[in-house]
Amino acid sequence: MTDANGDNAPLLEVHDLHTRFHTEEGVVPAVDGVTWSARRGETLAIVGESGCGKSVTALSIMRLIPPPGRIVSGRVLLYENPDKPPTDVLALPERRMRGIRGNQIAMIFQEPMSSLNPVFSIGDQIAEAVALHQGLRSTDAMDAAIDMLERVGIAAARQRSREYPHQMSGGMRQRVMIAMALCCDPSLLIADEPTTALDVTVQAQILDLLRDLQNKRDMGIVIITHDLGVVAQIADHVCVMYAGRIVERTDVKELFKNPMHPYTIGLLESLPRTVAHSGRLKCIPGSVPNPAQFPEGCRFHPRCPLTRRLADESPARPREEFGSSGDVLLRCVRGTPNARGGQPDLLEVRPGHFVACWESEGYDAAAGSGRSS
Amino acid sequence: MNQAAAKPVPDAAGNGRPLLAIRGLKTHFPIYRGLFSRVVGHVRAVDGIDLDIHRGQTLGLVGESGCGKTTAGRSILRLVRPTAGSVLFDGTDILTLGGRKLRTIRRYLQMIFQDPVGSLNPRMSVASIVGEPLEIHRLARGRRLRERVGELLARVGLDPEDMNRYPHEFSGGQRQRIGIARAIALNPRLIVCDEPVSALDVSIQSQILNLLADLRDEFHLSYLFIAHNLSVVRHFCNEVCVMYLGKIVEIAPVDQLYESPRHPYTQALLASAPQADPSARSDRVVLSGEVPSPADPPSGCAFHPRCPFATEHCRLATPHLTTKQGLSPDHMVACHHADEVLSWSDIPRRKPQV
Repeated sequence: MTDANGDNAPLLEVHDLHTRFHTEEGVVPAVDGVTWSARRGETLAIVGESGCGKSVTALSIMRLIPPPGRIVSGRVLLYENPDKPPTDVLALPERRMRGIRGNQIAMIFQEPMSSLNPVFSIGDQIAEAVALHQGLRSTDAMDAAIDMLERVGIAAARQRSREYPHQMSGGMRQRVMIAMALCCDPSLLIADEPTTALDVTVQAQILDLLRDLQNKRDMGIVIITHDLGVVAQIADHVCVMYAGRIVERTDVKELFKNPMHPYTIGLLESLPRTVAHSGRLKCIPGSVPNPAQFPEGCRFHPRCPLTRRLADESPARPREEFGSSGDVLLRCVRGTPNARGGQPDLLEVRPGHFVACWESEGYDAAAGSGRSS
Repeated sequence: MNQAAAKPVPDAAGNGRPLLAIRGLKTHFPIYRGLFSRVVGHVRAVDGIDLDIHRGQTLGLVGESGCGKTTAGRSILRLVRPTAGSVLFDGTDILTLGGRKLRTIRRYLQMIFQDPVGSLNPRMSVASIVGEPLEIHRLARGRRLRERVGELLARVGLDPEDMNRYPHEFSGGQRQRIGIARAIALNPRLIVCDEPVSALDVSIQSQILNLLADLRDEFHLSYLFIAHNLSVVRHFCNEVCVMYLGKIVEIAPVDQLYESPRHPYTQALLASAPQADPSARSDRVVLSGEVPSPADPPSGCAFHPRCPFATEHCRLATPHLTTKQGLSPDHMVACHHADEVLSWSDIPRRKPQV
């Protein structure tokens, strides 16, 4: 199940997805050309900080982008049946889309409290989904709901199915969300920060549960998280997103062993470890850019150590000067706005390892041979 | 270990007295029911804790949500009124003070909150947020006040020019810096940090932790550092205290706690923390169940319903926090079985059936 060569059947392919929000402040390119694929029985992690577009990617796949957001271009191909050609989810009429949500692709959200209806018992809420999607009678749907609650590890499921969301703890509510998402046996589960609001002990229980359910059902999982610890524990493949774009994509072992994009390297180095170490933590300077004002050129360049070196030494000078002036010793000049390099593409610099950085080793060779994602 | 933190700061008063000594601290919240709002029970949020914080020391307080760590931090500053116990700050009991004396002593005790949005008044400019403590304590006003606010903002890495702007104009990390500037405005001796980085992005967390470490060294600050992220605590603290259901279950210097935890709860907590290393993915210990309600804590050892090693004795008798044979005197555990070597590998893991 951890095969990097892709022996598992493809399940969902996202091709060059662009989602924009047309706001008063201008057009916000929240997702800007994202490409990845999820396979049966595998877990893809999308990792990034707030505002990097990871949740918007998930909502775009479900076609749940609220106005003023709009999916501008791209394709989302769903392989409902391995032997048949895929369906483009973005081109489907809304009626058919409703059959896909829940049945084929299910989603769980970060905040279980705000995703559950407080005035219905949890059993009723799950049974409603079962009845709608599978056309069961209400008593049969309730039995199916209780069965599902048992499977996600809720003891005394019949009694607890009569409880309301506020009577349950955070971990229990997240289990209810998972039960609801899985009750129609989806082939793909998208989990948006499923454990962020939970304690470490409960987080470990939920991750364990997801892994278990995946193994038994050959389900594909896309997990969205900002926590590299969670990524290391559960993912097979990883996409690192920054400012609406994927900056690095590879399998999990390669990412942690040999990170190549300066942003990924910075994220990994800024983590305090549970193993003993001394001194100061390394930092990525600055903060995540506002999506309405993404920097020109490589979007990471204002925070990148490769373009920043002399900016640190003479902070009085505007950053834009760097890269063009001859007296500045910078490794990366192409990522800065006036160097006309523009944004780097995501290229396969090593087998199975895609990076979008002008300065990564092998980038120019990959660009020359036209190997793009 | 953090060398800067490990060095004890010379005691200003020249004695070995801790800066803050907490004895038998209890904070119970009454539960009201019925027509006449009778008290039908108590939530024992903090149920008898003893702690010492020395000058220049950083004490980490960890545990799952609902274990009482936030209430403990707030009780120490008397932001909630404790039910019993004493909190001696430099020899003075904070819990018995009132009025002006309390206000004077609060100058030395400050707090940094988890939520950098909720803890700053959106209608106040940064200058008034950071300057307010100085005004209340009549330490500066007018031009001197603005100068001092400018210095404080520069110290926490903000642009003093921004002092007339409002909190919403700043990013999360910058707002947390504003909160830190306010906390250090009065030259405090102790700062209670309640989850100071858990609401921040990963790349910003390390910036704030480095800033807090710099301030600790520069102003000889002591921190009570409340957090649930065990890696952050290991990096930042020199002593760690693990709480469960309002009680301390284990306390030890940071390396000892992480390398040889003795309480099964500490062991489970450490094993649950996800390692940022895919090769460390293993059959981890997964503690089943969740923290019981502090309104109705289990008998005996409060951890016994979740503990795979619990015996009849654990169900009946409450263990006390004591030193154990073979452990250094500053490593204390509240577990009947702490003298035995507990082996988690023999514990069958409960798996949900799918």
